[in-house]
Order: sequence, then structure tokens, then C-alpha cells
Amino acid sequence: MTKFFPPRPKRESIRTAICQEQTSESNPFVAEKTLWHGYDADALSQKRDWTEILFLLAQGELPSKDQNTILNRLMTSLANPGPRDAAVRAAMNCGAGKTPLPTILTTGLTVRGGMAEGAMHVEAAMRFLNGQLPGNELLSFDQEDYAEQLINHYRAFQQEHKDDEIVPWPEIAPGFGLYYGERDPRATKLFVTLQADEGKFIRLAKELESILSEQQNSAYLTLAGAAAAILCDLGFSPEHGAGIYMIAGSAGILSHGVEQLPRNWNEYPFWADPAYYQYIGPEPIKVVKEEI
Amino acid sequence: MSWESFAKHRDCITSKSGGWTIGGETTMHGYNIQQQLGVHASWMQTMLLSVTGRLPPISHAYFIEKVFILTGYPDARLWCNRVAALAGSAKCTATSSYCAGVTSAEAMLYGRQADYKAASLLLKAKQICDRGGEEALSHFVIGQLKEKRAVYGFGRPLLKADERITPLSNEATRLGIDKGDHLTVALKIEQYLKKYKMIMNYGGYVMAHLLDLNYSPKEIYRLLSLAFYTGIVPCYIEAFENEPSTFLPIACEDILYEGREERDIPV
Repeated sequence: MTKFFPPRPKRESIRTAICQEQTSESNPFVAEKTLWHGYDADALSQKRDWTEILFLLAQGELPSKDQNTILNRLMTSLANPGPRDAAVRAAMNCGAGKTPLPTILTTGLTVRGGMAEGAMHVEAAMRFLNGQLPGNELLSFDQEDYAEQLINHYRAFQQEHKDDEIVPWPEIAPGFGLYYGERDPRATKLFVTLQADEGKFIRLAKELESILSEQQNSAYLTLAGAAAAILCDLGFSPEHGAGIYMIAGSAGILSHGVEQLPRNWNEYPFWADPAYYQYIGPEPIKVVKEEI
Repeated sequence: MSWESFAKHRDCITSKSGGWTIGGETTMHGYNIQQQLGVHASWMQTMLLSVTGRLPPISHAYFIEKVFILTGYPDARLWCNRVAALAGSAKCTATSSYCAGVTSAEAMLYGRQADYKAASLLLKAKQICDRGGEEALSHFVIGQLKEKRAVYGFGRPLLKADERITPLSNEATRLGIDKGDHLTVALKIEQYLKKYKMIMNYGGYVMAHLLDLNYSPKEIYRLLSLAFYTGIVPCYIEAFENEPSTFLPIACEDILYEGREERDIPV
């Protein structure tokens, strides 16, 4: 590779195993050829599709045909969270207010990152399913009561560490709960849509569900939990899984946000009637006693 | 919760914080914004009110204002500032760039997560000291160091002193809020950690003070969101005003590639 500059200290260099850009002969800032995990990026874009590249960049290897089919179907199923979803509504609010386009998308994605049903939840669920929480080190996936022990360990962990993070771990094991008060039908549908052979994490998720559903305050697999189990079976880390959950929903976030852009402000609800707004705080008669 | 519980919230916003009587007046936590806060309170007091629901004494507002000023370094090498500078160099909008900088500072290594963990640690340390005395405190601190290889609020990469503490300490003295139990505990911890060459850092010092001023770790985390703001903004503006992509451009050869050699795409 042509070198234009003297070597720099290693500690002041960015290190990566993902992308290699080979310098052009004439300009040190222009790449003549780019490799992703060793594959020519131009050739990849001709021969492989988007989900294969997503898999490759995250895991370092191309997926098998079956893995790619499942990832594709998963992302397709998650493509549009719909206009009632908090992330999509955040983007629609931006669209209605004529926020610059990139912010419409990033605002929606920020909201999709949350612990309730969002990317943080998927990450937490994947950690839970993977047995990556403190206290799980001594458990073995093969032991008979693994699922039950995971639940017990999670409860102890949640109690002991609930105030440790800036967004607390959920009370019910992540990936499980109720959807507007009932079993989340989207989770079951997702498994059906994927038509995937049950991997070990899907089987574990279903076993956990059967235990949690029989306990007091029944809980079931949620959409985020089902997605987490599938992403675990596909070999993604919790961090990558959370990101993929966000990327998948970005299609709907973008489209719904942009749809609102050309509309008038009064074509999007404000809930202007005072009847919609209930103030239950202290009577607003407090006085600032100290002068600046 | 059944679906009926959700139905109760349909078309209904309930707020304990305040609101706007459209075309009329607004309130926040029991204060009229136009007649009270807008006339008699500072922005910092109002910001603290918005976080805690309590209007703080002016001394708190002055102190926290200094906390912000003393840590807003307009140096684009600092990670959150660099994010804003990269956004500026990419010609992003100001607000989205500031937002990116502020959000990136929600970092475990140096930012808001570190603040939260330092505040939580000092709160626990004081409880342990109150119950078990200095021996228990020492045991707790060394245990933290062994278990996590770090004690949040203590230690500073690159340097062995924190230049922000003296001016903030002077301000605390001037305001008459320079003493407190959490600060005493923090200073004891600093003594235990001396042999590991770890000093109390700015985060630890600020957290101890804010706990002494009766802010909880959660409140501290929420009220310090904009702590680096005055450093972030100039880094964005300068990069924005310069030619695109001239902020720390990286040549292909500058990247240390440590991955796979070139290979054929499988058929």
C-alpha cells in the first residue's frame, strides 16, 4: 500500500478489524479498494444483499442461506412499528413541526432505544437469555432447571441492582411481560412468520414463558423478547441485536415522519381542548422568596 | 394492567409538573412562570426546579453554574466535543450536533453514567461509614477497587491532579456550602486510595457536594445533562465554519487494520 506519511504512534491510531481501505496512488484520503472483513466491498454489493452485509459487519462472517432468510424475515416483520408506536410518533411530531429531515429519523431512533419495548430492552433480554447477568456464571445451559434458575437469578439480580443503572432493569425478566394487559400476539406471530427451526434460544424463551405464565402475575414473551431470542439464535451479541432492532424499525420511522412533512400544522393533533389536559400538581401560588 | 387501564389515559395527559393554559399563563411545580420564575428566578434555579420539583436557594444555583463552567472545555480532543466537531465538519445543524455531543457524554468512562455511579457509591459509602465506622468504609472501598478495578469519582487518566477542584472549592467556601458529611467521606476515601495513586476527581468532588446539598443520585444525573455544553458548542461552531471534512481528516493509512486478509466471496 502506498504510504504518504511517516508512521504514527500506535496509541494514536484507530484500530479496526472490520474495514480496510487501500490508499489510491495519488491521494492519501481516497481509497482505491475497500475490504469488509476481507471481502471486496464492491463485489459484495454486487453479489450479496443488505442483510448479509449487516450480518457480516456484525459477526465477521457471511451468514448461511438459512440465517440470512431468518434475519431478512425478522427485519421485514419489524420494519414498521406503526403510527401508534412511540418512536414513530416522535418522528411524526418532528415531521409535523418541519424539523430537518435527519433529525426526524434520529429522533425516532432515540425513542426506539428505550428500555420499554425498545433496543435497551432487546439488549437486556439477550443478556438474560444468554445467561450474561451476574450470578449466572455457575449455571449450565444443559442443566434441567436452567430456565427456572435464570428466572430466580434475575429476580435476585434485579432486586440487588435495580438502582445501579441510569435506566433501571425491568421488574419482570426482560423479554417477557404483557402487551396492553394481555399476551403479546406479535411474539407468537413472529415465530410463525419466520418459519424457522427452533434454535436453542427460542426453545429457552418458550420454556421461560411457560414458567412465567403459570406464576402469579403471569407474563409472556413480548415482541422484543421474541426478537431477542431469534437474534441470539442467529449468533448476534446483545449490543448488535439491540442495534438491529433499531435499524429494522427505521423504515417505518422514516416513512411516517416524512409523510407528515408537507401537511399543515393543524392536520396533526395537539390535544388543544383543555379537557384533554389534567393538572394534578400543587396550586400554582408559590412565590420566589429569594431575589437573584 | 388491563387494557381498560390504558383506556383511562387515552386522550388524557395528566401532569404534576405544570402546563400551559393556551393563550394564558404557565406554571411549573407550583410557580407561575410569567409572574414568578421569569421575574425573580435565574435560569439555573429554574432548571433545578424542573429536575427536582424544588426551587433551590440561589447558592445552589451559583454553585452548579460554576460546576458547569469549570468543566466546559472547548477542546475538540475531548470525546463529546469531538462528536460535535465532527457533526460541524459534516455541516450538521447546530441543535442536532449539540444534542449529539450532550448525548455522547452519557458515558460510563467520564460522563453522566460515571456521575451517577460516583454519586451512588458515595451515598452507599456514607451509609456504611455511619453504620460501621472507618474500618467498614475502608473495607468497602478496597472491595470496590478489587471487584470493579475502579472507584467511581476517583482516579483521573493522564493526570494526577484535577485543576477544576480548587476554583470550585473556592466558590463553595464563598457560598458557605463547603462542608458536608459526604464530602468528609469522599476525602477519607481519597486517603485510602492514595497508595494506589488515585486522587478524587472532579466528578467525585462534585457528587459529594451535591449529595450534601440533598440531591439524590438520580436528580444529579438528570441535572448535570448539560454540564459539558459550553465546551461542546464552540467545537461545533469552529468545525462548522471551516471547510467540510477538515476537522482531523484521517488518511487511509492512519487506520490500523487488524482483520482478515483479502479473501474470495464464497459462491
